Amino acid sequence: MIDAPLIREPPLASVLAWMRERTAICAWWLGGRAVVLVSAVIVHVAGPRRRLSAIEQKHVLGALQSWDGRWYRIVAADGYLLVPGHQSDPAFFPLFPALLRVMHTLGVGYAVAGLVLANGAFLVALLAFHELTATLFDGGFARRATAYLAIFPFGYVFSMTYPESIVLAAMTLSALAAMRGRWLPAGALAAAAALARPEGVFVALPLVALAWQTRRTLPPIRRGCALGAALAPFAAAAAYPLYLDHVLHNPLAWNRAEQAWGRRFSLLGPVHAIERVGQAFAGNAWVVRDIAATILYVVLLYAAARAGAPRAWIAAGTAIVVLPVFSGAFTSIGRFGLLAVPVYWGLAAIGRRPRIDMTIRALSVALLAAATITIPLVFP
Amino acid sequence: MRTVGIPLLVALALAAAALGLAWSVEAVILPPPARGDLAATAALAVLQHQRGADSTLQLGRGGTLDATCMQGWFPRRGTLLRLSDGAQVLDYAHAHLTTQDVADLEIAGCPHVLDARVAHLLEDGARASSAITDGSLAVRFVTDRSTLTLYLAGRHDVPVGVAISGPRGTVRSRIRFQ
Repeated sequence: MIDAPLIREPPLASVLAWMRERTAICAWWLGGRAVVLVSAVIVHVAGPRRRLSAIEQKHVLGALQSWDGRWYRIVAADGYLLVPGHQSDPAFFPLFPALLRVMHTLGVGYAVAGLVLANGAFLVALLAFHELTATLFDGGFARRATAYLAIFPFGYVFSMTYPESIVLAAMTLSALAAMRGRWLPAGALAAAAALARPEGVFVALPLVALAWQTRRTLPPIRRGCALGAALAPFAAAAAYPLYLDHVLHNPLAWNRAEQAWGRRFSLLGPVHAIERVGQAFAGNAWVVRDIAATILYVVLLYAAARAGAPRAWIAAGTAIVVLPVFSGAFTSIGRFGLLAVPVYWGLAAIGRRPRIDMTIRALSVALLAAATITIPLVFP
Repeated sequence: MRTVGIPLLVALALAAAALGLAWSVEAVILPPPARGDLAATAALAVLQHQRGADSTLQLGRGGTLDATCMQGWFPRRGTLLRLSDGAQVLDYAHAHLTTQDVADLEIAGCPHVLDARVAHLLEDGARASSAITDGSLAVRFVTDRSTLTLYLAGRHDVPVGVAISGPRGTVRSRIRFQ
Protein backbone atom coordinates (compact mmCIF):
# COMPACT_ATOMS: atom_id res chain seq x y z
CA MET A 1 0.00 0.00 0.00
CA ILE A 2 1.31 3.40 -0.90
CA ASP A 3 0.57 6.15 1.53
CA ALA A 4 -0.94 9.23 -0.05
CA PRO A 5 1.40 12.20 0.39
CA LEU A 6 0.29 14.39 3.26
CA ILE A 7 -0.32 17.86 1.90
CA ARG A 8 -0.09 20.47 4.63
CA GLU A 9 -1.54 23.89 4.04
CA PRO A 10 0.88 26.66 4.94
CA PRO A 11 -0.14 28.26 8.26
CA LEU A 12 -1.00 31.58 6.62
CA ALA A 13 -3.28 29.85 4.10
CA SER A 14 -5.09 27.96 6.84
CA VAL A 15 -5.52 31.17 8.81
CA LEU A 16 -6.88 32.87 5.67
CA ALA A 17 -9.26 29.96 5.02
CA TRP A 18 -10.42 30.16 8.63
CA MET A 19 -10.91 33.91 8.26
CA ARG A 20 -12.80 33.48 4.96
CA GLU A 21 -15.33 31.31 6.77
CA ARG A 22 -15.82 34.10 9.24
CA THR A 23 -15.91 37.00 6.81
CA ALA A 24 -19.52 37.81 7.71
CA ILE A 25 -18.60 38.12 11.41
CA CYS A 26 -15.67 40.39 10.56
CA ALA A 27 -17.98 42.46 8.36
CA TRP A 28 -20.48 42.86 11.23
CA TRP A 29 -17.64 43.83 13.56
CA LEU A 30 -16.37 46.36 11.02
CA GLY A 31 -19.84 47.75 10.35
CA GLY A 32 -20.80 48.04 14.02
CA ARG A 33 -17.50 49.64 14.99
CA ALA A 34 -17.74 52.03 12.01
CA VAL A 35 -21.11 53.24 13.37
CA VAL A 36 -19.53 53.85 16.78
CA LEU A 37 -16.36 55.50 15.47
CA VAL A 38 -18.21 57.78 13.03
CA SER A 39 -20.64 58.78 15.79
CA ALA A 40 -17.68 59.54 18.09
CA VAL A 41 -16.15 61.72 15.37
CA ILE A 42 -19.49 63.53 15.00
CA VAL A 43 -19.41 64.17 18.77
CA HIS A 44 -15.90 65.60 18.39
CA VAL A 45 -16.85 67.85 15.48
CA ALA A 46 -20.36 68.97 16.37
CA GLY A 47 -21.62 67.18 19.45
CA PRO A 48 -21.95 68.07 23.12
CA ARG A 49 -18.51 67.85 24.71
CA ARG A 50 -18.90 69.89 27.89
CA ARG A 51 -18.42 67.00 30.31
CA LEU A 52 -15.32 65.62 28.60
CA SER A 53 -11.92 66.61 30.00
CA ALA A 54 -9.72 69.01 28.06
CA ILE A 55 -7.53 66.15 26.78
CA GLU A 56 -10.56 64.11 25.69
CA GLN A 57 -11.99 67.14 23.88
CA LYS A 58 -8.79 67.49 21.86
CA HIS A 59 -8.70 63.88 20.63
CA VAL A 60 -10.90 63.01 17.65
CA LEU A 61 -12.06 59.82 19.47
CA GLY A 62 -11.92 61.49 22.89
CA ALA A 63 -15.51 60.48 23.74
CA LEU A 64 -14.47 56.81 23.59
CA GLN A 65 -11.67 57.46 26.11
CA SER A 66 -13.85 59.27 28.63
CA TRP A 67 -15.52 58.39 31.97
CA ASP A 68 -13.98 55.21 33.47
CA GLY A 69 -11.34 55.21 30.72
CA ARG A 70 -9.61 58.05 32.57
CA TRP A 71 -9.48 55.96 35.79
CA TYR A 72 -8.07 52.94 33.97
CA ARG A 73 -5.35 55.15 32.47
CA ILE A 74 -4.52 56.55 35.94
CA VAL A 75 -4.16 53.00 37.36
CA ALA A 76 -2.01 51.96 34.40
CA ALA A 77 0.29 54.96 34.78
CA ASP A 78 0.50 55.40 38.57
CA GLY A 79 -0.99 52.31 40.23
CA TYR A 80 -3.83 52.15 42.74
CA LEU A 81 -4.56 54.77 45.39
CA LEU A 82 -7.50 54.73 47.81
CA VAL A 83 -8.62 58.28 48.53
CA PRO A 84 -10.67 57.93 51.74
CA GLY A 85 -14.22 59.23 51.47
CA HIS A 86 -13.83 60.17 47.80
CA GLN A 87 -14.12 58.42 44.43
CA SER A 88 -10.91 56.55 43.68
CA ASP A 89 -9.47 53.90 41.42
CA PRO A 90 -9.46 50.64 43.50
CA ALA A 91 -13.07 50.35 42.23
CA PHE A 92 -11.57 49.24 38.88
CA PHE A 93 -10.29 45.69 38.44
CA PRO A 94 -6.62 45.27 37.47
CA LEU A 95 -6.33 43.24 34.24
CA PHE A 96 -7.30 46.01 31.81
CA PRO A 97 -4.94 48.65 33.29
CA ALA A 98 -2.19 46.00 33.38
CA LEU A 99 -2.69 45.36 29.65
CA LEU A 100 -2.71 49.13 29.01
CA ARG A 101 0.62 49.40 30.81
CA VAL A 102 2.12 46.52 28.83
CA MET A 103 1.07 48.22 25.56
CA HIS A 104 2.48 51.51 26.84
CA THR A 105 5.79 49.79 27.62
CA LEU A 106 5.81 48.62 23.97
CA GLY A 107 5.59 52.26 22.88
CA VAL A 108 1.82 52.69 22.37
CA GLY A 109 0.20 55.67 24.10
CA TYR A 110 -2.41 54.92 26.76
CA ALA A 111 -5.21 56.54 24.73
CA VAL A 112 -4.53 54.48 21.59
CA ALA A 113 -3.78 51.32 23.60
CA GLY A 114 -7.20 51.44 25.24
CA LEU A 115 -9.04 51.75 21.94
CA VAL A 116 -6.95 49.08 20.18
CA LEU A 117 -7.37 46.61 23.07
CA ALA A 118 -11.11 47.16 23.40
CA ASN A 119 -11.93 46.98 19.68
CA GLY A 120 -9.52 44.12 18.96
CA ALA A 121 -10.86 42.08 21.87
CA PHE A 122 -14.40 42.69 20.62
CA LEU A 123 -13.58 41.01 17.30
CA VAL A 124 -12.21 38.02 19.24
CA ALA A 125 -15.36 38.06 21.41
CA LEU A 126 -17.62 38.03 18.34
CA LEU A 127 -15.74 35.10 16.77
CA ALA A 128 -15.79 33.11 20.02
CA PHE A 129 -19.44 33.97 20.70
CA HIS A 130 -20.41 32.78 17.21
CA GLU A 131 -18.56 29.50 17.72
CA LEU A 132 -20.13 28.99 21.16
CA THR A 133 -23.63 29.80 19.91
CA ALA A 134 -23.29 27.55 16.84
CA THR A 135 -22.25 24.70 19.16
CA LEU A 136 -25.21 25.23 21.51
CA PHE A 137 -27.87 26.09 18.90
CA ASP A 138 -27.44 26.08 15.08
CA GLY A 139 -25.63 28.05 12.40
CA GLY A 140 -28.48 30.42 11.49
CA PHE A 141 -29.22 31.18 15.13
CA ALA A 142 -25.50 31.84 15.74
CA ARG A 143 -25.21 34.21 12.76
CA ARG A 144 -28.23 36.18 13.93
CA ALA A 145 -27.12 36.36 17.58
CA THR A 146 -23.60 37.43 16.54
CA ALA A 147 -24.94 40.17 14.27
CA TYR A 148 -27.13 41.47 17.12
CA LEU A 149 -24.15 41.47 19.49
CA ALA A 150 -22.06 43.42 16.94
CA ILE A 151 -24.63 46.23 16.75
CA PHE A 152 -26.20 46.02 20.23
CA PRO A 153 -27.23 49.57 21.28
CA PHE A 154 -25.19 49.57 24.51
CA GLY A 155 -22.33 47.96 22.57
CA TYR A 156 -20.59 51.30 22.04
CA VAL A 157 -18.92 50.41 25.36
CA PHE A 158 -17.07 47.60 23.51
CA SER A 159 -15.22 50.37 21.64
CA MET A 160 -14.45 52.51 24.71
CA THR A 161 -11.43 52.35 27.03
CA TYR A 162 -13.37 49.85 29.16
CA PRO A 163 -12.60 46.14 29.81
CA GLU A 164 -16.04 44.81 28.75
CA SER A 165 -14.92 43.43 25.37
CA ILE A 166 -11.94 41.66 26.99
CA VAL A 167 -14.21 40.08 29.61
CA LEU A 168 -16.73 38.96 26.99
CA ALA A 169 -13.93 37.44 24.88
CA ALA A 170 -12.42 35.67 27.91
CA MET A 171 -15.80 34.34 29.10
CA THR A 172 -16.86 32.94 25.71
CA LEU A 173 -13.41 31.51 24.92
CA SER A 174 -13.30 29.90 28.36
CA ALA A 175 -16.66 28.21 27.82
CA LEU A 176 -15.61 27.08 24.32
CA ALA A 177 -12.38 25.60 25.66
CA ALA A 178 -14.29 23.77 28.40
CA MET A 179 -16.79 22.36 25.88
CA ARG A 180 -13.82 20.97 23.94
CA GLY A 181 -12.36 19.41 27.08
CA ARG A 182 -9.46 21.86 27.33
CA TRP A 183 -9.82 22.60 31.00
CA LEU A 184 -6.51 24.35 31.64
CA PRO A 185 -7.05 27.09 29.00
CA ALA A 186 -10.66 27.27 30.18
CA GLY A 187 -9.48 27.97 33.73
CA ALA A 188 -6.87 30.51 32.61
CA LEU A 189 -9.41 32.41 30.49
CA ALA A 190 -12.03 32.33 33.27
CA ALA A 191 -9.40 33.71 35.66
CA ALA A 192 -8.61 36.47 33.16
CA ALA A 193 -12.32 37.38 32.93
CA ALA A 194 -12.61 37.63 36.72
CA LEU A 195 -9.42 39.70 36.94
CA ALA A 196 -10.85 42.23 34.49
CA ARG A 197 -14.39 42.69 35.89
CA PRO A 198 -16.18 41.21 38.93
CA GLU A 199 -18.92 39.86 36.60
CA GLY A 200 -16.25 37.58 35.12
CA VAL A 201 -16.60 35.17 38.05
CA PHE A 202 -20.04 34.12 36.78
CA VAL A 203 -18.47 32.18 33.91
CA ALA A 204 -17.82 29.65 36.69
CA LEU A 205 -21.50 28.60 36.48
CA PRO A 206 -21.37 27.18 32.92
CA LEU A 207 -17.96 25.68 33.71
CA VAL A 208 -19.35 23.90 36.79
CA ALA A 209 -22.29 22.63 34.74
CA LEU A 210 -19.95 21.28 32.02
CA ALA A 211 -17.66 19.69 34.60
CA TRP A 212 -20.67 18.02 36.25
CA GLN A 213 -22.02 16.72 32.92
CA THR A 214 -18.68 15.14 32.00
CA ARG A 215 -17.72 13.89 35.48
CA ARG A 216 -18.30 10.20 34.72
CA THR A 217 -16.33 10.17 31.48
CA LEU A 218 -13.21 11.94 32.81
CA PRO A 219 -10.28 10.28 34.60
CA PRO A 220 -9.62 11.65 38.16
CA ILE A 221 -6.88 14.13 37.19
CA ARG A 222 -8.94 15.64 34.36
CA ARG A 223 -11.92 15.79 36.68
CA GLY A 224 -9.74 17.82 39.02
CA CYS A 225 -8.75 20.06 36.12
CA ALA A 226 -12.43 20.63 35.32
CA LEU A 227 -13.20 21.55 38.93
CA GLY A 228 -10.05 23.69 39.07
CA ALA A 229 -11.17 25.60 35.95
CA ALA A 230 -14.47 26.42 37.68
CA LEU A 231 -12.61 27.58 40.82
CA ALA A 232 -10.03 29.65 38.88
CA PRO A 233 -12.19 32.80 38.44
CA PHE A 234 -12.87 32.94 42.20
CA ALA A 235 -9.16 32.51 42.92
CA ALA A 236 -8.23 35.26 40.44
CA ALA A 237 -10.84 37.60 41.92
CA ALA A 238 -9.49 36.83 45.42
CA ALA A 239 -6.01 37.84 44.27
CA TYR A 240 -7.22 41.44 43.85
CA PRO A 241 -7.91 42.21 47.56
CA LEU A 242 -4.64 40.45 48.42
CA TYR A 243 -2.82 42.75 46.00
CA LEU A 244 -4.62 45.81 47.43
CA ASP A 245 -3.53 44.72 50.89
CA HIS A 246 0.04 44.45 49.59
CA VAL A 247 0.19 47.95 48.05
CA LEU A 248 -2.40 49.94 50.04
CA HIS A 249 -2.39 47.94 53.30
CA ASN A 250 -6.15 47.63 52.96
CA PRO A 251 -7.69 44.42 51.55
CA LEU A 252 -11.11 46.13 51.62
CA ALA A 253 -10.00 49.03 49.41
CA TRP A 254 -12.30 47.82 46.59
CA ASN A 255 -15.36 47.89 48.89
CA ARG A 256 -14.39 51.30 50.27
CA ALA A 257 -13.96 52.72 46.78
CA GLU A 258 -17.30 51.21 45.65
CA GLN A 259 -19.01 52.86 48.64
CA ALA A 260 -17.57 56.21 47.60
CA TRP A 261 -19.08 55.59 44.13
CA GLY A 262 -22.46 55.13 45.87
CA ARG A 263 -22.61 51.32 45.79
CA ARG A 264 -23.44 49.48 49.03
CA PHE A 265 -24.60 45.91 48.61
CA SER A 266 -27.41 44.74 50.90
CA LEU A 267 -30.25 42.22 50.81
CA LEU A 268 -32.72 45.09 50.68
CA GLY A 269 -30.85 46.66 47.74
CA PRO A 270 -33.62 46.06 45.17
CA VAL A 271 -36.17 47.66 47.54
CA HIS A 272 -33.90 50.69 48.00
CA ALA A 273 -33.29 50.85 44.23
CA ILE A 274 -37.04 51.05 43.55
CA GLU A 275 -37.66 53.47 46.45
CA ARG A 276 -34.97 55.81 45.17
CA VAL A 277 -36.09 55.85 41.52
CA GLY A 278 -37.84 59.22 41.93
CA GLN A 279 -34.84 60.75 43.68
CA ALA A 280 -32.46 59.26 41.10
CA PHE A 281 -34.63 60.59 38.26
CA ALA A 282 -34.58 64.08 39.79
CA GLY A 283 -30.77 63.91 39.97
CA ASN A 284 -30.22 62.39 36.54
CA ALA A 285 -33.08 61.54 34.20
CA TRP A 286 -30.84 59.11 32.30
CA VAL A 287 -31.56 56.52 35.01
CA VAL A 288 -34.67 55.71 32.94
CA ARG A 289 -32.35 54.27 30.31
CA ASP A 290 -30.83 51.82 32.82
CA ILE A 291 -34.22 50.83 34.23
CA ALA A 292 -35.44 50.12 30.68
CA ALA A 293 -32.25 48.12 30.04
CA THR A 294 -32.82 46.03 33.19
CA ILE A 295 -36.37 45.17 32.10
CA LEU A 296 -35.20 44.44 28.53
CA TYR A 297 -32.41 42.15 29.78
CA VAL A 298 -34.82 40.19 32.02
CA VAL A 299 -37.22 39.73 29.06
CA LEU A 300 -34.36 38.61 26.80
CA LEU A 301 -33.05 36.17 29.44
CA TYR A 302 -36.55 34.68 29.60
CA ALA A 303 -36.65 34.42 25.79
CA ALA A 304 -33.24 32.71 25.83
CA ALA A 305 -34.45 30.21 28.43
CA ARG A 306 -37.53 29.49 26.28
CA ALA A 307 -35.22 28.98 23.27
CA GLY A 308 -33.38 26.25 25.16
CA ALA A 309 -30.26 28.06 26.36
CA PRO A 310 -28.39 26.05 29.01
CA ARG A 311 -29.66 26.79 32.52
CA ALA A 312 -26.17 27.53 33.84
CA TRP A 313 -25.81 30.32 31.27
CA ILE A 314 -29.24 31.71 32.17
CA ALA A 315 -28.23 31.66 35.85
CA ALA A 316 -24.96 33.47 35.03
CA GLY A 317 -26.79 36.06 32.91
CA THR A 318 -29.41 36.61 35.60
CA ALA A 319 -26.72 37.10 38.24
CA ILE A 320 -24.94 39.66 36.04
CA VAL A 321 -28.15 41.65 35.44
CA VAL A 322 -29.86 41.32 38.82
CA LEU A 323 -27.00 41.45 41.37
CA PRO A 324 -26.08 45.13 40.69
CA VAL A 325 -29.63 46.08 41.77
CA PHE A 326 -28.66 44.80 45.25
CA SER A 327 -26.33 47.83 45.47
CA GLY A 328 -29.46 49.96 45.74
CA ALA A 329 -29.37 51.53 42.27
CA PHE A 330 -30.08 50.77 38.61
CA THR A 331 -27.10 52.88 37.54
CA SER A 332 -24.99 51.39 34.71
CA ILE A 333 -26.95 48.12 34.43
CA GLY A 334 -27.21 48.83 30.69
CA ARG A 335 -23.42 48.37 30.56
CA PHE A 336 -23.16 45.52 33.10
CA GLY A 337 -25.76 43.49 31.18
CA LEU A 338 -23.56 43.52 28.07
CA LEU A 339 -21.69 40.58 29.64
CA ALA A 340 -24.87 38.51 30.08
CA VAL A 341 -24.26 36.23 27.09
CA PRO A 342 -27.79 34.71 26.93
CA VAL A 343 -29.25 38.18 26.31
CA TYR A 344 -28.11 37.93 22.68
CA TRP A 345 -29.53 34.41 22.41
CA GLY A 346 -32.86 35.76 23.63
CA LEU A 347 -32.73 38.45 20.96
CA ALA A 348 -31.86 35.85 18.30
CA ALA A 349 -34.84 33.74 19.42
CA ILE A 350 -37.16 36.75 19.05
CA GLY A 351 -35.68 37.63 15.66
CA ARG A 352 -36.44 34.30 13.95
CA ARG A 353 -38.90 35.85 11.48
CA PRO A 354 -37.18 37.83 8.71
CA ARG A 355 -39.31 40.95 9.25
CA ILE A 356 -38.60 41.03 13.00
CA ASP A 357 -34.94 40.28 12.28
CA MET A 358 -34.68 43.28 9.93
CA THR A 359 -36.50 45.51 12.43
CA ILE A 360 -34.11 44.52 15.25
CA ARG A 361 -31.09 45.18 13.05
CA ALA A 362 -32.31 48.58 11.82
CA LEU A 363 -33.37 49.68 15.31
CA SER A 364 -30.09 48.47 16.84
CA VAL A 365 -27.94 50.42 14.37
CA ALA A 366 -29.96 53.61 14.93
CA LEU A 367 -29.85 53.22 18.72
CA LEU A 368 -26.12 52.36 18.66
CA ALA A 369 -25.35 55.60 16.81
CA ALA A 370 -27.64 57.62 19.10
CA ALA A 371 -26.21 56.05 22.26
CA THR A 372 -22.64 56.80 21.13
CA ILE A 373 -23.54 60.45 20.64
CA THR A 374 -24.84 60.60 24.24
CA ILE A 375 -21.46 59.58 25.73
CA PRO A 376 -20.48 63.14 26.74
CA LEU A 377 -23.87 63.60 28.44
CA VAL A 378 -24.03 60.46 30.56
CA PHE A 379 -21.65 57.75 31.68
CA PRO A 380 -22.38 54.23 30.36
CA MET B 1 -10.65 8.26 48.30
CA ARG B 2 -8.99 8.15 44.87
CA THR B 3 -12.20 9.23 43.12
CA VAL B 4 -12.64 12.28 45.36
CA GLY B 5 -9.18 13.03 46.78
CA ILE B 6 -7.19 13.29 43.54
CA PRO B 7 -9.67 15.57 41.73
CA LEU B 8 -9.94 17.76 44.82
CA LEU B 9 -6.17 18.06 45.18
CA VAL B 10 -5.73 18.86 41.49
CA ALA B 11 -8.56 21.43 41.64
CA LEU B 12 -7.08 23.13 44.70
CA ALA B 13 -3.63 23.18 43.11
CA LEU B 14 -5.06 24.82 39.98
CA ALA B 15 -7.00 27.37 42.03
CA ALA B 16 -3.83 28.19 43.98
CA ALA B 17 -1.94 28.57 40.70
CA ALA B 18 -4.64 30.92 39.36
CA LEU B 19 -4.45 33.00 42.54
CA GLY B 20 -0.65 33.15 42.42
CA LEU B 21 -0.58 34.00 38.73
CA ALA B 22 -3.25 36.70 39.06
CA TRP B 23 -1.43 38.26 42.02
CA SER B 24 1.88 38.15 40.12
CA VAL B 25 0.36 39.87 37.06
CA GLU B 26 -0.77 42.73 39.31
CA ALA B 27 2.44 42.94 41.34
CA VAL B 28 4.82 42.72 38.37
CA ILE B 29 3.01 44.94 35.86
CA LEU B 30 1.25 47.65 37.87
CA PRO B 31 3.38 50.26 39.64
CA PRO B 32 2.99 50.54 43.43
CA PRO B 33 1.76 53.92 44.72
CA ALA B 34 4.47 56.43 45.55
CA ARG B 35 5.30 57.23 49.21
CA GLY B 36 4.01 60.78 48.77
CA ASP B 37 0.62 59.60 47.46
CA LEU B 38 0.17 57.12 50.31
CA ALA B 39 1.13 59.81 52.83
CA ALA B 40 -1.36 62.23 51.24
CA THR B 41 -4.21 59.71 51.56
CA ALA B 42 -3.20 59.00 55.18
CA ALA B 43 -3.32 62.76 55.83
CA LEU B 44 -6.82 62.86 54.31
CA ALA B 45 -7.96 60.20 56.77
CA VAL B 46 -6.66 62.43 59.61
CA LEU B 47 -8.25 65.60 58.18
CA GLN B 48 -11.65 63.91 57.89
CA HIS B 49 -11.69 63.36 61.65
CA GLN B 50 -10.90 66.98 62.57
CA ARG B 51 -13.44 69.74 63.21
CA GLY B 52 -11.10 72.70 63.47
CA ALA B 53 -7.50 73.95 63.55
CA ASP B 54 -5.37 76.74 65.01
CA SER B 55 -2.50 77.91 62.86
CA THR B 56 0.24 80.47 62.49
CA LEU B 57 0.66 81.87 59.00
CA GLN B 58 4.07 83.08 57.85
CA LEU B 59 3.43 85.63 55.13
CA GLY B 60 5.80 86.26 52.26
CA ARG B 61 6.74 89.77 53.42
CA GLY B 62 7.92 88.48 56.84
CA GLY B 63 4.88 89.09 59.02
CA THR B 64 2.83 86.45 60.81
CA LEU B 65 -0.88 86.01 61.44
CA ASP B 66 -2.72 83.70 63.81
CA ALA B 67 -5.74 81.89 62.42
CA THR B 68 -8.55 79.82 63.89
CA CYS B 69 -10.68 77.58 61.76
CA MET B 70 -13.96 76.05 63.00
CA GLN B 71 -16.56 73.73 61.55
CA GLY B 72 -20.16 74.37 62.66
CA TRP B 73 -23.29 76.51 62.13
CA PHE B 74 -22.63 80.24 61.40
CA PRO B 75 -25.74 80.29 61.05
CA ARG B 76 -25.44 77.92 58.07
CA ARG B 77 -23.36 74.77 58.26
CA GLY B 78 -19.86 75.45 57.04
CA THR B 79 -16.36 76.51 57.96
CA LEU B 80 -15.47 79.83 59.62
CA LEU B 81 -11.92 81.15 59.43
CA ARG B 82 -10.89 84.03 61.72
CA LEU B 83 -7.54 85.78 61.20
CA SER B 84 -5.79 87.86 63.89
CA ASP B 85 -5.95 90.97 61.64
CA GLY B 86 -9.75 90.89 62.00
CA ALA B 87 -10.54 89.37 58.63
CA GLN B 88 -12.80 86.34 58.42
CA VAL B 89 -13.94 83.94 55.72
CA LEU B 90 -17.14 81.90 55.85
CA ASP B 91 -17.28 78.84 53.63
CA TYR B 92 -20.57 76.98 53.20
CA ALA B 93 -22.22 75.09 50.36
CA HIS B 94 -22.77 77.30 47.31
CA ALA B 95 -20.83 80.20 48.89
CA HIS B 96 -19.02 82.35 46.34
CA LEU B 97 -15.42 82.56 47.52
CA THR B 98 -12.55 84.34 45.84
CA THR B 99 -9.37 82.48 44.97
CA GLN B 100 -7.68 84.33 47.86
CA ASP B 101 -10.42 83.20 50.31
CA VAL B 102 -9.90 79.56 49.30
CA ALA B 103 -6.13 79.92 49.59
CA ASP B 104 -6.57 81.41 53.12
CA LEU B 105 -8.81 78.48 54.18
CA GLU B 106 -6.27 75.99 52.83
CA ILE B 107 -3.18 77.61 54.32
CA ALA B 108 -4.93 77.89 57.70
CA GLY B 109 -5.37 74.12 57.62
CA CYS B 110 -9.20 74.17 57.66
CA PRO B 111 -9.70 70.38 57.66
CA HIS B 112 -12.66 70.05 55.29
CA VAL B 113 -11.34 72.56 52.77
CA LEU B 114 -7.86 71.03 52.77
CA ASP B 115 -9.35 67.52 52.53
CA ALA B 116 -11.48 68.54 49.54
CA ARG B 117 -8.52 70.22 47.81
CA VAL B 118 -6.09 67.29 48.22
CA ALA B 119 -8.77 64.71 47.34
CA HIS B 120 -9.69 66.71 44.23
CA LEU B 121 -6.03 66.79 43.15
CA LEU B 122 -5.68 63.02 43.65
CA GLU B 123 -8.99 62.31 41.86
CA ASP B 124 -7.74 64.37 38.94
CA GLY B 125 -4.74 62.08 38.70
CA ALA B 126 -2.22 64.55 40.20
CA ARG B 127 0.55 62.65 41.95
CA ALA B 128 2.67 63.93 44.82
CA SER B 129 6.41 63.99 45.26
CA SER B 130 7.80 63.67 48.77
CA ALA B 131 10.94 64.57 50.72
CA ILE B 132 11.97 64.72 54.37
CA THR B 133 12.21 68.38 55.50
CA ASP B 134 12.99 69.44 59.11
CA GLY B 135 11.91 66.10 60.50
CA SER B 136 8.56 66.08 58.71
CA LEU B 137 7.56 64.60 55.38
CA ALA B 138 6.89 67.26 52.74
CA VAL B 139 4.30 66.06 50.21
CA ARG B 140 4.18 68.34 47.18
CA PHE B 141 1.48 68.71 44.52
CA VAL B 142 2.49 70.81 41.52
CA THR B 143 -0.38 72.22 39.45
CA ASP B 144 -0.47 74.71 36.57
CA ARG B 145 -1.15 77.66 38.88
CA SER B 146 0.46 76.81 42.22
CA THR B 147 2.32 74.29 44.33
CA LEU B 148 0.64 72.90 47.44
CA THR B 149 2.90 71.31 50.05
CA LEU B 150 1.61 69.39 53.06
CA TYR B 151 4.04 68.84 55.95
CA LEU B 152 3.21 65.58 57.71
CA ALA B 153 4.56 64.19 60.96
CA GLY B 154 4.33 60.99 62.98
CA ARG B 155 3.42 57.43 62.17
CA HIS B 156 -0.07 58.46 60.99
CA ASP B 157 1.10 61.27 58.70
CA VAL B 158 -0.70 64.03 60.64
CA PRO B 159 -0.62 67.39 58.82
CA VAL B 160 1.47 69.89 60.82
CA GLY B 161 1.94 72.55 58.16
CA VAL B 162 0.96 73.78 54.71
CA ALA B 163 2.78 75.84 52.09
CA ILE B 164 1.27 77.34 48.96
CA SER B 165 3.56 78.80 46.30
CA GLY B 166 2.06 80.86 43.50
CA PRO B 167 2.86 83.81 41.28
CA ARG B 168 2.64 86.15 44.31
CA GLY B 169 5.16 84.20 46.40
CA THR B 170 5.00 81.57 49.11
CA VAL B 171 2.87 81.43 52.26
CA ARG B 172 3.58 78.85 54.96
CA SER B 173 1.71 77.82 58.07
CA ARG B 174 2.03 75.65 61.15
CA ILE B 175 -1.15 73.81 62.11
CA ARG B 176 -2.44 72.44 65.42
CA PHE B 177 -5.74 70.59 65.32
CA GLN B 178 -8.27 71.45 68.05
